Amino acid sequence: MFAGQRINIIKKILLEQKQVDINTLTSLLNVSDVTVRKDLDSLETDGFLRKVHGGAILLEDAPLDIPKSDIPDLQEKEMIADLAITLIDDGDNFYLGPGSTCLILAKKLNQKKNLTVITNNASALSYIDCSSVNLLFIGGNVVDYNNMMFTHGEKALAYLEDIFVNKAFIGADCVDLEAGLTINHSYSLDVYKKILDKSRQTILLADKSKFDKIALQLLCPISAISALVTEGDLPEKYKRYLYQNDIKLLTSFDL
Amino acid sequence: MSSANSELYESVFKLAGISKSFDGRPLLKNIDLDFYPGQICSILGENGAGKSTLIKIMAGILQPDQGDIFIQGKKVRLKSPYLAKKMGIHFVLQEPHLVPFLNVEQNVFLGNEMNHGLFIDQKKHLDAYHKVIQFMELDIDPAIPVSELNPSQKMNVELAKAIVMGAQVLLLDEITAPFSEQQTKKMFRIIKKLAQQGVCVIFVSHKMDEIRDISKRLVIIRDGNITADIENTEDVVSDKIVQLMTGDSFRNRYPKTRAPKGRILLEVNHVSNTSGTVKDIDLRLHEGEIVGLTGLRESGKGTLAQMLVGMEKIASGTLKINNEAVKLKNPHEAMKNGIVFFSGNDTNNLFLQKDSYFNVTISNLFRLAHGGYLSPREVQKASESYLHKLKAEVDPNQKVHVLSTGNKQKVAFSKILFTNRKILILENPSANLDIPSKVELYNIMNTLAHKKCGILLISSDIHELIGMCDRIYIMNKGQVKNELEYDEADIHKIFYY
Repeated sequence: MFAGQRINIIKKILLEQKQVDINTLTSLLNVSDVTVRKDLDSLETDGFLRKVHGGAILLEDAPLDIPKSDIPDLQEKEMIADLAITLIDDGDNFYLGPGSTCLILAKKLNQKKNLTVITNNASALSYIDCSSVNLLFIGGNVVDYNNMMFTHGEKALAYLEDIFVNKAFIGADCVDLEAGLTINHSYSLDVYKKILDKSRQTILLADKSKFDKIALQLLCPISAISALVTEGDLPEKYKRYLYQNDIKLLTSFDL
Repeated sequence: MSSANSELYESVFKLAGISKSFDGRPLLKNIDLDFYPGQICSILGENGAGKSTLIKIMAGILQPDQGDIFIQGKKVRLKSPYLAKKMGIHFVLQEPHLVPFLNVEQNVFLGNEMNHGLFIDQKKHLDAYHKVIQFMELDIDPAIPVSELNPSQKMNVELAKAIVMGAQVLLLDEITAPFSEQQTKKMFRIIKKLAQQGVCVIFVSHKMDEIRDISKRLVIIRDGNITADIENTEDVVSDKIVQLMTGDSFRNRYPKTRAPKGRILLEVNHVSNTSGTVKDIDLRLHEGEIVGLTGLRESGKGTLAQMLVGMEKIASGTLKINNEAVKLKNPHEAMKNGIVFFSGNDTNNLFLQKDSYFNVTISNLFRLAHGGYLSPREVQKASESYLHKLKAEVDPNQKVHVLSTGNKQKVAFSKILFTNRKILILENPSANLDIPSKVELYNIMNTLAHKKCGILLISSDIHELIGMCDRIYIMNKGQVKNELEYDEADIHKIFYY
């Protein structure tokens, strides 16, 4: 079971019962108490609970996490984010794109030290601890798309003129082997295109449901990315293409 | 991409289809290159890319396995450096070949003394000498022995010698290494003068900034192939050159991410087998690590693997698992102690006439047996669970011999995982797998490392080793000759430890 799934279960229990103890959790989830404690730590950082001796209690004004229904394929995105975080080193600097998968990744950044993050993902801001992360926000025209807020436009592009990043984590609405990475609305396109030029490595986070589909506007061909992180089993042609073109394909296995 | 000169001049030096292998490994693959008089061409490549092999073939030091060499359009065999020199191809190393106790003048004209009858014509000599010296901007006292010169001056003498011998092609192999910036600048000025006189200069280097100063044309070699032949380096951005040069041995395609290194799982000290084909081995494996073990034929790596799983006796030395010394009499004991073995080469890790339910669980049935009772339902659930985890599209009821290679591999791997051991010894696990299956396998290995397993990967696939391993042990003739960290590993170091 993945960390993301466990966390969801713990949250559910807390929301129902207002409190939870470590022993119950370890036998329920079949993991060690060290693991449970780490999960509780993570939820405490998110402001969801307060740890007490032997367990935790729900914080009454816990920020209502984004309801499950609002993020489609939440579980898959958690898996992708768990994989993506392994591509980040302590001391790294990178761009974080708009969208829900990148938001979920943002919540996991406390696992690494000394990060410099530049982002136009406004929804992700409150999930990043800016006392430990050197966080830069790209100002610009704000747009709300699929309940995710981000910035774009002339001002945002101007901000990026002098910027150079080691890595860029991006998403796309659709991915097709021939057509490439495509997006339905052009809002995120301008910043993404600029970032592609300014980033040493470009890492695409895309769940399985996005593949073999084509959206309205072209962002870039598949050959432009350095790595692809997905949770499911992709068609063989993608595995072949990526391997032959020296592009990393990270997939998850629940072992 | 051929040089603009090709329309105007014929190539002075041509390589066609040059290939060279060493012990079965290709070092140069089908190289085609043309070099022109008066042109300075840089050859850029990382260590192990093949540049030294290429230069040595061009200098007559090595013979190609395949391909032809042409000088002024005529096919030649450069059987030795001496012969190459006679044909006008001069090879200049970092350490110039000068006679230390002779002076500059003597070295420059060594073998090319101008004779007047039986005696050396002093006047003619001195005239020629001054001409050369002036050209080379060598203000050195002609009488002093060359042993007293600095490296840059020695190099100039060597070049002067080549000129006097009538060199048409100069092969300069990383010559600027010992020079200061000033000396390098001066050297480059002289080389450019030489080119203007019609000499073809081939400048080998691994320093990108240098080559931009010296030449317009740039040939990039990587993994034994010419990856680029650029007419004008000004047209290409540095990052692109680096990319063409490094390509990281196709390292990026491997789904390897750094896992936290935990406690030591397996430790081997001064271990040897009875026959002595494996001698005095030290080896460690930690949680979170994928460690490679490789070597050419008869290196002993296969035998060492067998020793670690109880298939061959450890005659001397200690084997410790989780810090406890153990003696393994057979693979079953190895498994009980936490080690499982998987070989990609053979299918005798599967009972081909049985179905997947049997094959997956058979090694570890006691895990499912409760109070002496083995529930078929439990067997089913467990097998299906592991097959599902590995995304194997397999009907577990079918006898495994009908499955595809990739799926057979997954059933065998499910069996390994079902034993729940932390130390996995994998021998050539990707052999016989197609690309999609390989990508899956590597992702599985990466995931296992992140789950605190330790994997010993025995392989002859250099790219796989460089891509997937945190450390690599290189064996030869039964001993560990070298140990490389991830950041140090490259093809050259694995071949030429």
